[in-house]
Amino acid sequence: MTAPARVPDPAPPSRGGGGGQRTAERTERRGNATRRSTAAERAYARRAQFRRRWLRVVPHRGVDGVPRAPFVLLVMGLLAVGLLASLWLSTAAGANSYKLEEIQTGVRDLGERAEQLRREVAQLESPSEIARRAKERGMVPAPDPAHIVVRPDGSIEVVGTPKPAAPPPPPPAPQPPPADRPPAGPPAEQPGAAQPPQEQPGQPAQPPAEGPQQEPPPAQDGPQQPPGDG
Amino acid sequence: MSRASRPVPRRRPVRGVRTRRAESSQLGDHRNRLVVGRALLVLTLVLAGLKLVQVQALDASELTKMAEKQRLTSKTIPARRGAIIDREGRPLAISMEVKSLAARPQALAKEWNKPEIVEQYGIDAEGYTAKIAKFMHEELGDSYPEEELLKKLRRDVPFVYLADNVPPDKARKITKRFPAINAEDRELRQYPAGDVAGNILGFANWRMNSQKTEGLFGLENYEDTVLAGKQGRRIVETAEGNNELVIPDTERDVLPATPGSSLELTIDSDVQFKVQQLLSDHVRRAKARSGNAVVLDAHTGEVYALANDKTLDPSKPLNRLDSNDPRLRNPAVTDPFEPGSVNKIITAAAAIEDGLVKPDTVVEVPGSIQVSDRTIRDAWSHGTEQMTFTGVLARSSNVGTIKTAQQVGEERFVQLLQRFGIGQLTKVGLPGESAGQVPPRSQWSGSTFGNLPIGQGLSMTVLQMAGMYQAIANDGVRVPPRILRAVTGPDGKRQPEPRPEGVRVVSPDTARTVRGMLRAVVQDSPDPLQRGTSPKAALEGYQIAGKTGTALQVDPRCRCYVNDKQWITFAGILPADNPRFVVGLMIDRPEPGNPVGVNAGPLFREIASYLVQRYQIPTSPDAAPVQQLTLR
Repeated sequence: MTAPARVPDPAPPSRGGGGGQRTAERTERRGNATRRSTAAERAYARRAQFRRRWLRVVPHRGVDGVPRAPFVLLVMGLLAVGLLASLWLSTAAGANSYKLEEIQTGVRDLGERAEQLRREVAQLESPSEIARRAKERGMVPAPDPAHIVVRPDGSIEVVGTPKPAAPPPPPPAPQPPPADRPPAGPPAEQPGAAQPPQEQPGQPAQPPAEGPQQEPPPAQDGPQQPPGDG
Repeated sequence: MSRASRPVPRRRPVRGVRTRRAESSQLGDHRNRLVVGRALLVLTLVLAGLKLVQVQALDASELTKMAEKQRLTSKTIPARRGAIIDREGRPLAISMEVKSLAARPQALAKEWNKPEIVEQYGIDAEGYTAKIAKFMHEELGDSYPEEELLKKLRRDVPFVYLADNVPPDKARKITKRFPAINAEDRELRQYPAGDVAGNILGFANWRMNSQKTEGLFGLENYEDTVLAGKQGRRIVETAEGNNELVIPDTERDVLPATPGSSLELTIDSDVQFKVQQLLSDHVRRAKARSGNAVVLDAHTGEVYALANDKTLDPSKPLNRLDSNDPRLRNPAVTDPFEPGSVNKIITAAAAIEDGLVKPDTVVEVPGSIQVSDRTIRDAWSHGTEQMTFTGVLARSSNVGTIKTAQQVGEERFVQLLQRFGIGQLTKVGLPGESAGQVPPRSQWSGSTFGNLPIGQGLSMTVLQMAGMYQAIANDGVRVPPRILRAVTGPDGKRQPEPRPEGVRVVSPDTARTVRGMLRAVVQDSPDPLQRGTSPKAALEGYQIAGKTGTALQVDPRCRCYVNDKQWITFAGILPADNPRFVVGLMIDRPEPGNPVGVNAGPLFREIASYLVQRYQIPTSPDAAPVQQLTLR
């Protein structure tokens, strides 16, 4: 009904009281059709169409007659803005995804590196490694320490006798070059001489001073008691 | 709107007129078209239906197989295995993500020998493999010689592994440059501390069939479910015939892996290292068969160190290990022994608790005592001596102990044996734990009660032995030892393990009294009658309570106790006046006559000396009082 272009379509009002009469006329005419030539028939049809040329449904206009143009423009504008925004967002997302990927790669690489470093630290701080390195530098485990006990009255008491550590039993096999110094204090030299600083003359130089007369680690004990006490 | 009201009929004649000449034939054409079209459609549908039946029903299994071959492969994402750390957070076992590099030499040769490829790249398979081998050798270092890689790459096999345990960054570099090389996810279990606590940790390695790291023995095996975590899954498209060859960028349906939980042990790796070292040194010098040692916290029962003289280094290859190798077990918890005189603490605790004796009660100790058909003597021959009860313990008199035990009574003795945890699992949290053996009351013979009080005829692990002394150190409450301190879940939440319920063994007073008496064991004196059995266990500045033990072993040939095969034991409390640690030691079969092997007291002293330095234990305010052991 909203398609006024189609002229021959009868508007609803044409279905009036005279409708019945016209139909009758039509049937009659059709009955006569055989008598009419085709050309005439066509002419009739054309004339009927022509007669209705000006008849069309007048489109309904809004009461206030507000022009549509601004509204259309507004919608178009909104659409354009939306389009641009989505374009910009997707471009930004695309650009960011590259950045993201790059950063993720960085995170992964750094994570792997951190893990490797952590493993190295774990290895280096393990007691066996520390002991090995200490030994390499000619260090030995300390013997029993002496304790200085401070009494409540402020006086002090030394518990135990401080003893220097025994030098490591045999010097580790190959002595590398550092023997460039003339052996200043022969017994004082520990293997791996690269490590300890020069002997400080002022200090009593506790540990390495008297190497040879060490008593061996305190574990050896004579058969002070008959075997089998149980 | 009905069509009838429209003027359409008027137009129809118009069209009709125009087309009248062809009307009949065209109408027939239309009908024919419809019929033919319909027939075609039906036919197509029928054909499709038939094909459907064929695909879905007849050839289904075969097609599924083909499809599987061709497209999607579900790959597991390995879950990172939890670490094992010591009580200070130092790692003992950690997992690393690594890659295995593989290639498909046959496919590679076929591809790179195609004339168009040779033409395009100016290199054939031989040149290409040479390039791969050179680059891989440069990246991976000398453990992968170029010739060896080349040999593998040119072998006439469909699939070959080229390198294991490759760091992921290097693997990426190689696979990026040579897409023909494939990297597979692996996990490398590492033990940065080497053999420290190797007996406790055990061993875990990567398994090809389950595609994850699994524990083989030790804690790694025992706590495998906690450590393992949950594998993730991803679906990838793979090339036909080779599910290992992933088509790049086809990953989907990723279900992330849940990493395993980390275990925090009660072990202090410094103490563990030192005890392992001292113990193996002692065993070597005593020319003994083996030895066990344990260091417990006196109050919580936490195991600070649990050592055997021989320890497996899980960071070294295990290929050449015999399945009977003791290092595959943890003899400190799996192998019980007869404790000898260390067991006299039960009689002492019972007699003091029941008020039968006091430390200075004089016991008349003859040279021997008859129990049923057996005569039991002391370790040294003597006539009747008047010993204080402290002296009986400190000089380790068998006769005096049995006399007192008889006063205590069998029922009470068995009751206390049980409260001290002998014959029961400690549930320390290590696999293969032995409960030791205590003859059931119903199977006792007449002489059994002449054996048990002096620590023969029953067996215990070094952990149970130290547990007895822990009860005395902890004022009479025995806390079963534990080795697991906390579990840290994948969310990083640390869940401390519940502390086991303590068992009240004796009253605090009894515990203190017994501890005081045990100090006399390390008492030195020029007079042998006033000397304890192990003055060399004494540590200057600290009060030490301890007990030596020597148990004879049974010779399987004569099924009798023999003198030249012994277990030498020692259990000590450090310091006796304010206990911090309990140390248990066992040396198995020291060389007869070897002075080092006679007594484990000196080993205790070395360990104690280390512990007071490591934990900066304050010295005892007073020296232990001199106690009278024997009356003149």
